[in-house]
Amino acid sequence: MTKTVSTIAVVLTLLGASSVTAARFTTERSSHTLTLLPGGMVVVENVSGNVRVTGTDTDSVVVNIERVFRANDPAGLVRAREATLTTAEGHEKLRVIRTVITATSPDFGSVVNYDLQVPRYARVRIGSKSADDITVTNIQGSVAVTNINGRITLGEVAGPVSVESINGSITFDAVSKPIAEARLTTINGNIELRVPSNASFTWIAQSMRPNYVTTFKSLAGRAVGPAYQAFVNGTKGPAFRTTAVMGSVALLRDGTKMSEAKRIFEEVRVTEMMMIAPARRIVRRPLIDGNLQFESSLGEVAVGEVRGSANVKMGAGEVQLGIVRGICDVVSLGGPLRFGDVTGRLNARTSAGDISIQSAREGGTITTGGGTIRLAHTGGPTRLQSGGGDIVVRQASAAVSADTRSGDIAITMDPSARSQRITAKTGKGNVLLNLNPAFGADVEVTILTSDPARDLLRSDFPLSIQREQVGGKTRIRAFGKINGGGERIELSSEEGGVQITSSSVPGTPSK
Amino acid sequence: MAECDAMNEQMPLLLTESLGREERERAHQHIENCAACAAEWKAYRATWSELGELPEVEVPARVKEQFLSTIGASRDSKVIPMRSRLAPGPRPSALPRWFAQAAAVVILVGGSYYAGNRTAPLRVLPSPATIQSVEQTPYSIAETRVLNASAISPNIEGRPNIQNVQFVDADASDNQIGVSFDVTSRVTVTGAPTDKSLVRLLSYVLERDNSTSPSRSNAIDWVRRTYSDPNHADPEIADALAKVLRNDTHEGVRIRAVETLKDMSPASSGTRDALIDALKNDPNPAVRIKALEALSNLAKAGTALDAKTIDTLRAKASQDDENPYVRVKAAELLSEIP
Amino acid sequence: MNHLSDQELMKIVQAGDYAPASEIYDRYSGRIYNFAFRFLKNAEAAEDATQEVFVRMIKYASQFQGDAKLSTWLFSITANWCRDYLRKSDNKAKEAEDVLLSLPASSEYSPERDLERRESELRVKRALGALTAEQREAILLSRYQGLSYAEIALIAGCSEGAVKTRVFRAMETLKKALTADVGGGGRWLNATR
Repeated sequence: MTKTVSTIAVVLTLLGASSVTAARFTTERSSHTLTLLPGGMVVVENVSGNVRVTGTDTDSVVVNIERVFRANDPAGLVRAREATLTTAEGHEKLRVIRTVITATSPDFGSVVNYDLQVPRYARVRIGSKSADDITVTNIQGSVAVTNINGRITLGEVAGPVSVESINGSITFDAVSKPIAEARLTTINGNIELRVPSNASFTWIAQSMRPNYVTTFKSLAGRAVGPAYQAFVNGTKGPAFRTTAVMGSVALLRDGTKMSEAKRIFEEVRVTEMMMIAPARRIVRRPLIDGNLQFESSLGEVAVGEVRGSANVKMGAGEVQLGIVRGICDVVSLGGPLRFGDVTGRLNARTSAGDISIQSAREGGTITTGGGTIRLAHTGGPTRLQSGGGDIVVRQASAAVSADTRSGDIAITMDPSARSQRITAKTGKGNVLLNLNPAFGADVEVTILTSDPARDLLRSDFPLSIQREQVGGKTRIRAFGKINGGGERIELSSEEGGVQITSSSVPGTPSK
Repeated sequence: MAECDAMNEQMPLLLTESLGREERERAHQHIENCAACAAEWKAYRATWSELGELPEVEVPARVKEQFLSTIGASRDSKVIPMRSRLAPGPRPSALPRWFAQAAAVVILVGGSYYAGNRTAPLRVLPSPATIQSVEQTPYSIAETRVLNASAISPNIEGRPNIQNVQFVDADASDNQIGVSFDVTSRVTVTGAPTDKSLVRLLSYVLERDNSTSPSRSNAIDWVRRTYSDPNHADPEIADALAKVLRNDTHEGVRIRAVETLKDMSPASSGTRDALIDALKNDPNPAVRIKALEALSNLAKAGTALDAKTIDTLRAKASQDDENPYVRVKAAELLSEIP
Repeated sequence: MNHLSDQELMKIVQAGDYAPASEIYDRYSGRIYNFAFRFLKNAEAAEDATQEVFVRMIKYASQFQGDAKLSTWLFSITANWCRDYLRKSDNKAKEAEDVLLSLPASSEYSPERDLERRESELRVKRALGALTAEQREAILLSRYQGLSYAEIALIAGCSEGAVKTRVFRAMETLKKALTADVGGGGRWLNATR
């Protein structure tokens, strides 16, 4: 009876609850018996529905199939039925049970649930897209399961185990004397590994968060690369690798509960990304009336105004700060950074992602490992660096130094700026500089190109030009004192052009 | 019974959707009401689908090399026109002479090619290679020829060496844009963003392999402003951007290309493949992040993630040495699979 | 070059300029090769066929009519080449070559899935091998190349009615071979209730 209830629940979930009111359902059941030789393999490939495989002491594979069709009208039910094929292929050493969907439509759908009894010696492979439950129990051969959504539960499996899920959680009950390795991987789900307290094995856990918990009292664990490794009851046993990229990993002793588990933590503080907060933390606040101090391995920070200084260290995630009254120091190992009006000096660094700043009144240092930097206004000496990406400064009233491995650099100096040191260097790309007509400087432009035929240098200020061959390339150099000279301007581009324009209107056409 | 026999003979046609509408309806009605034919039809479809299990095999690269060397064309023959070393068959005589020059001479074929003498073909010669001095502007306005996109064939012949490309949108409200460039003289082509000739011209500017210039970055910015509007969406533009994303050695340009693709909806499979390849292989993390965001936008727009995309995302989320933000974003996108 | 239509590329070739050869090859070599490979069941012969088809395309470019589809024309050349090949009696022996050996390894699949796919391929390959050359030609063009019966008739040099009969007979044979529940064959588990 309970089985019927759970089946209906599954059907409703998988077929879409919204269509339940208008929908019609029919269910077909069938049973088939196939033989399997010792060492043989049973493969189940399903699209959506549950799969249960149980080992028995017989030599045959019993396949119970439940096909559930949903449609809005009788004709749709016929089509759903026609479009849902279940097949058995192979021979006595390999049995492949498969669901084949030959047509899909919003008007009809189907779910196929499999319940298989297989010889205990069978090797079992299960592949599914969307299942509420995949359960495998009492198998001596190897077991491999892959799915996208849904829970996977393995128990009493003695052979090697490999489970790969994307969004599903995995529960694995190990046998008392494990000899075979297990590899459990999920991206967004959690992993629960249950073992007899005397089982001997090596536990290797990995997660980005990292969130590892256990009910074992004292584990001799340590960090190995990005993973945590512990020998449980000696070093003899097989390895159980548990990777939950975004989730948590729990190692539970038989007879203990998840609620009793303690976090393994101190041992894991090895890599830079595994900083203080273990879980993903999100800070969203309109105002912090004081200093903001925040560290997280995964997270997101969005604060409208920080009255004091801001100090953020982020493993991976977006950082967005509106107004910062004090000094602003943000370091991220990955993710875009956005700032509004920063009063104090700004130090912003991300390993990957764009950086945009409305205003850095005191200037500062802005660095990305790869991404575009957009700075609307800076009032102090500013250094900008990108591992690859454009750099755009729309209004600078102090010295600017911009450097990108590849990308365009566009700098517009404030109309009031009379002479400031400017350096712009791109490994591949163009440099555009806009100055007010009275700006005084000693200009030096270098362009290295393999295409000298192109119109690469344009200047509204008079410059003298030299060309020379360097290897297979042409180096174009231009010099000049403009408006009687002043601070140095050094512009350098490879495989691109340099343009110096004169305008009293701030802002470049480039975004 | 005779009807069933006739029905059986029609089933292969039904499978290839080669029957007319009425016949198809009749066939389906018969199949629905006849158990024997229904069983037969099911078997037909299963057979047809099973035949699909045969994978496509890739042609070994040596075949192409051998072929090209047999006819005397090098691998670079795309760019350099080649003459035959093989004794050609009888030479056609009816061909217009200009066509024979097509690969060597820059031609924007006029509408006349398709529509009689409505407009004369525009032919222009490549400009001589010069370094422009700093003071000079290359061409004066007076020399500019303005052509309407409808007067230009969408097919760009040869590989015209167009330079100093500029984009104009004199009146933002009139749904007319223009592209100006130098060939021998300055040419401006104007028309609606959806005009095929303009689309092709812009694609050409984007794809030109010898253009490492401001042209391409500017073109991308322009394309982004113009073609992110769903009313102007054009798969050719998206494909051109996908090529930029694959091939451009400038990271800044690739970032712009992927950013622009991100704003364009819904992509062809070619575009999606380019995004997946960028996510997999691009050395710049910003390109990878934006490729992920573009894929995420596609998923939000209702494009189901295919197996290849899912595999790539899974690999990214699990990759220890990948940037953590890329991993988190890949995992987030995977979590949205229904 | 990739902006140009097949017809436009062929016009350039017809004018004696082989610059588009590479582009045309890229467009059609995959389809030609796969057709020849499945028709002849021999990778080496399929390579020869592919190369020869494109050489003939260049050689006889003037015979190509601008209003025809290039694919139909190329498949005509391919089918001719393949028929000639099979006609030579000593080539028939090579048919036995196991196509599975030349399949590219697919890294995306687990060994089990790969095994299962290979079995399926083998079954399809055997079933196709059981057809007459005429039937095989017709079913390959229809199923894998998506050509219409009219196009197939042009390529095979027969009437549309004959194509219809060939495809029908082929499907009858394939159906028996692929849906039978005998050793190595699949079986349907759909409930009949």
